[in-house]
Amino acid sequence: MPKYIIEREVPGIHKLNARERKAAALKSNRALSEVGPEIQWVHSYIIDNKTHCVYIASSKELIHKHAEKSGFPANKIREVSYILEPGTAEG
Amino acid sequence: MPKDNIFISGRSLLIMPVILLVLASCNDSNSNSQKDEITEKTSEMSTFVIEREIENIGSSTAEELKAGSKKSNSVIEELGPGIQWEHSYVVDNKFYCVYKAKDESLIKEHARRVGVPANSISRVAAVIGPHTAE
Repeated sequence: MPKYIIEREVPGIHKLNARERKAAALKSNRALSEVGPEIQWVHSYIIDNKTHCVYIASSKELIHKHAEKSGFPANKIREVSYILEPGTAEG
Repeated sequence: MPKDNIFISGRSLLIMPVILLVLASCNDSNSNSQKDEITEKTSEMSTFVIEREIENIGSSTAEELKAGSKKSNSVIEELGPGIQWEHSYVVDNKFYCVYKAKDESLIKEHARRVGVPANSISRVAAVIGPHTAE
């Protein structure tokens, strides 16, 4: 299944405390279980007013569906062609 | 004088004992040193997401990306331990790169030396995932 980077614009998200982040993750997990096994959340980087999320999914449609159910918008969805890391230079 | 020797100048040698004394006295009055150590480490290195817009980068060959990674690694080595590359996601017209760095200026300098843009540099407030709900 392809990997995707999803940009979500969520005002104030960077100000959430640990308890609020936990609630947000729970909301996302619930929506994931409703959408089914063909979408998985890897992790998300929270920056100012935005998150960059890494997901594995069989299609972009499932990502839209998850966004609708969770209430977290998917403003941009981009399919990942490669993942690079320092070791890539040696391989 | 070579750059590495700057700290062994006569003046530094004179100042050193004073600095050590001040540090030692701070340590004595510090009842919660473990907490301070954690704060210090976090303030030293932050995680950043860097977006680099490069037309058709997603269509690059593995060889081209390997060459680019090699160049990036050599610049990171030049810049020292204040900057670390974690990983990068390549999409059609962009890189999303995750770095650890002491400050933004090192990220800008790295981009300048490698010859790639850093269109946006954002400090990461937190990394969350499915396990965050537990």
